[in-house]
Amino acid sequence: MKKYSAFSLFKHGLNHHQDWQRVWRNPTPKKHYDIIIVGGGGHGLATAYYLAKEFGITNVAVIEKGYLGGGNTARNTTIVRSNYLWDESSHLYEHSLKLWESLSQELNYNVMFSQRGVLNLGHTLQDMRDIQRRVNANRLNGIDGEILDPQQIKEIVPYMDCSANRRYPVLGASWQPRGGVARHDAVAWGFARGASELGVDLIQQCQVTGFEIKNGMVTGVKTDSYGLISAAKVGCVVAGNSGVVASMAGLRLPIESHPLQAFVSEPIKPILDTVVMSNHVHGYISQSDKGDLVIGSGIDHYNGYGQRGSYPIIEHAVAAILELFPNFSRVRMNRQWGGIVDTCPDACPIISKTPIKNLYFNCGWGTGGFKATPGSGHVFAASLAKDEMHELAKPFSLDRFYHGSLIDEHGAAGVAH
Amino acid sequence: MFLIHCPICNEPRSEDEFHCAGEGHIQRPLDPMATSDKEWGDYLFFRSNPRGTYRELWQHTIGCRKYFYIKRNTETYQIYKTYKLDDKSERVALDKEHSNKNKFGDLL
Amino acid sequence: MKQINRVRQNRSSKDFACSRIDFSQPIHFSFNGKEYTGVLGDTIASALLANGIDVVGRSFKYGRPRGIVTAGSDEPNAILQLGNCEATQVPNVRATQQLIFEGLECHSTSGWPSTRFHLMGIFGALFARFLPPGFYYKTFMAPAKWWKYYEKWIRKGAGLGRSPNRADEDIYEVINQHADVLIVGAGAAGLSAALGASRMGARVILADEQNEFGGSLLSSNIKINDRCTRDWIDAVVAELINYESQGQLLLLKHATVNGYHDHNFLTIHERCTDHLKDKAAQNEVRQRYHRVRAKQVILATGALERPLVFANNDLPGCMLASAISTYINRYQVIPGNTLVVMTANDSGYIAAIDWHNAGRRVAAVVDTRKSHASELSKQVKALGITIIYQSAVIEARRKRLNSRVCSAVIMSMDSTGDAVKGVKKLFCVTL
Repeated sequence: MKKYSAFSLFKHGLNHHQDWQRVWRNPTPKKHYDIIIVGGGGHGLATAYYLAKEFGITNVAVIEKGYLGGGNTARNTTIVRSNYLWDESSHLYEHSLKLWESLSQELNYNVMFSQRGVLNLGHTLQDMRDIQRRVNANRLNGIDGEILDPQQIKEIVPYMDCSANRRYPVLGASWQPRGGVARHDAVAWGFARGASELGVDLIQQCQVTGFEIKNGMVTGVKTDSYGLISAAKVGCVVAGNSGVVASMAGLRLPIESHPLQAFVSEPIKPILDTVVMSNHVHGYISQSDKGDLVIGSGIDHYNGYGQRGSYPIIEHAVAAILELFPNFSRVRMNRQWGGIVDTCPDACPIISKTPIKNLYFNCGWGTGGFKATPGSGHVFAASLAKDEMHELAKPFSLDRFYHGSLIDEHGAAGVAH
Repeated sequence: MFLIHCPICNEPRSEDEFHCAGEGHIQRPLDPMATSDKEWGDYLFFRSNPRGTYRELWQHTIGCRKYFYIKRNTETYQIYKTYKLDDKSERVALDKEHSNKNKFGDLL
Repeated sequence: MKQINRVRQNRSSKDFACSRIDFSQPIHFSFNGKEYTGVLGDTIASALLANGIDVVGRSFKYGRPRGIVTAGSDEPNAILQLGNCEATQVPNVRATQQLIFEGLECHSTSGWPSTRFHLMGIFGALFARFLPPGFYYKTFMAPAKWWKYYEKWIRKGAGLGRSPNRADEDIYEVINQHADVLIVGAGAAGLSAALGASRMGARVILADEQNEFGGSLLSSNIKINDRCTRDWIDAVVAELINYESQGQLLLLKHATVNGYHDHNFLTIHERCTDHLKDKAAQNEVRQRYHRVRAKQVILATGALERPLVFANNDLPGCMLASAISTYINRYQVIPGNTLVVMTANDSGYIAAIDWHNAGRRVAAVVDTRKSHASELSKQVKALGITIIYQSAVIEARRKRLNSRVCSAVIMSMDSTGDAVKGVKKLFCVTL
């Protein structure tokens, strides 16, 4: 792999950028793979990358029905943090956050992970009690966190209206300085480039239409463009389409697919340098390096595969942001779009074996999957490679819905499910 | 924004008057104490979540406050029908749909 | 400053019969701190062009000088900061969409120390080749700890306009509407549709983003039943207003339909006072949001002209042919002295004819097609304008770093249109 650097840019600039190596290969699939990953989003590509990099398994294909990173990976609001409440989830997200911190160097691809800090606002006394509980839990787990009062918030976000006479006054916030945002498309491309270089075949424009299952064991996947491709193991990382893909194997999942939408404003000069989230007014906002305000809000309350959001959420999102930042009233929205998120009843993911042998699922990340991209890929790769679930993934098995050992993260998820 | 015909009020109203309460026609086990963990888990959490035709329970929260069913498409968002909870004709159609469900439906 | 590019003829002149400006009402406004004069009916763009302003902004990355390209909502360059005080700042207003009013203040959103002499522009001109699209993915990675310093510097260049930092004091309102037919766009098609639906007794809403109904007819010199477009529009609108007074029709100007949601639910953003004043009066609504549920929707939005591709096609002075016609016919502004038109169809000829009739020189029409004889090309030839067939403009040239286009390089094409040969240079000011 030709290394990217300021020097390589200069060198290629001299001959008008005509001989850059292709970022990834575009191969025809083989007949058989050791492992097939269904879904070429961030999580799937990260899984393939770590399989090849850490576990030496390079006979791997990623099968994607559209284009790489064309789903939720490049539709989210790019927030990365690890301040979850329970041990199981905070360990998983913190594992991911640690990988984020060196990801650009690991991939030799600048994913622009920018640790500008994440504020979770509290607007009621109960909010503040929850924040205290969560920050204390985080600290016990070695995760950075502080509780800020309105004065301290004002110092970080000068233009937020923290006055006591708002309809939803800001009483305080939790603050994770190591949290931040990253450039989402770069994450998919960086993992794709790394995986392809290590020998992973990335198969785009190829839809999985079914599974080959013999004696309760998966032996391959059926595709629309290349017919049957056999595999010793199959890992499905298809987010919003998890229910559809699971039903191809005759399975049901404790998952519902809902539209979640995001918005960006027209680019404006930098005015907001951190990520601000509020569960109570229910909106979250940051500003990209291009100057767009990146805004998110709640999911649609009904199931949908439309990749577009419902109208009431749009009004709600704008109202929530203006409650916090009345001065943004004259900034105009530029674009609005939707993705399909796979929500679980306890707002935690499923990283699990299934009743069908050698068929694995990594899904249920709901509204918060982007922040987990490297960590999710890493533990899923480890589980696939060793045929045994990674320690961090064990609590997230499908069985928990039968044992009742749910991990309720609705409070920390940031988006109500 | 959906335009939903409330079968109780018998008029079309906007989506923001309603709330979706999840998948419809899910039978609560008659004797919860007698069910296995698996049956209870299936009842509580596992859903069909299809891309296509779907039957959902909705409530007219800012209106008559009654529950009713919607049969709609989760991909095109077309609403085929709304009907009351005790609609007998839909019950027959539903039984037919269930008998056609895939054979692996109960593997878990 | 004089309006050097304005044609001072009144409406009775047959060439400007469809002009929509009123010379009797001069309007004063400021751009980048300097006072200018326009007339009633001008947009900021037409007034700036009338005053001979070339450079209105700078490109985002390389800091290249940018001028006005279009005459409508598709304007990519003339993006301004508006507002007389902190609370009324509006970022990213397209100069082609904002009408001028007395005392309007606007600024370019980029350029330091000034829009005309921009330091980044020099940097961009020198180093552009080393900063290809997506260069940031490939660098700023070492040492790892430095990203936050790199980013701090990168962020300095972010954004176009700026958000106000005080809360908005104006009043806004939301209205729910129901319609049998919602018509989006009030050009020839939209107006006709509104008329037809209203005559049949339907409840109609007609919304258009411009300050007047008529759409592309407002820019055109063509005749409808031997009368100028203005007469036709006035007659139709008069009949529509009659229906509106009966409560059957709602006519919305300055109203952009900005969302088409499930089950025929649309939203309209109506700007009630933006074209009149900086801040709405007390108890006056500045903007109104219509939430419309329509039984039928007619999209009569017309089309946008796509710019042609050649080297330096972003230089100030390169404009869309349709925009040239609009500025001449609607605003009586000729944005330059000598014109070269490049076209792939007959609509480019209209711009050449309009320009010639307005009294300035057309150097040539460059047509990518083989020689042919259409009605318009005959008219162009009759005016003594050269047509260069089977050729294309491959480059626009300028004299200095910050100046507008001064010449066009033209090459003739082979029969497949894939290769070019032979070079010809034409001097022009507008392309």
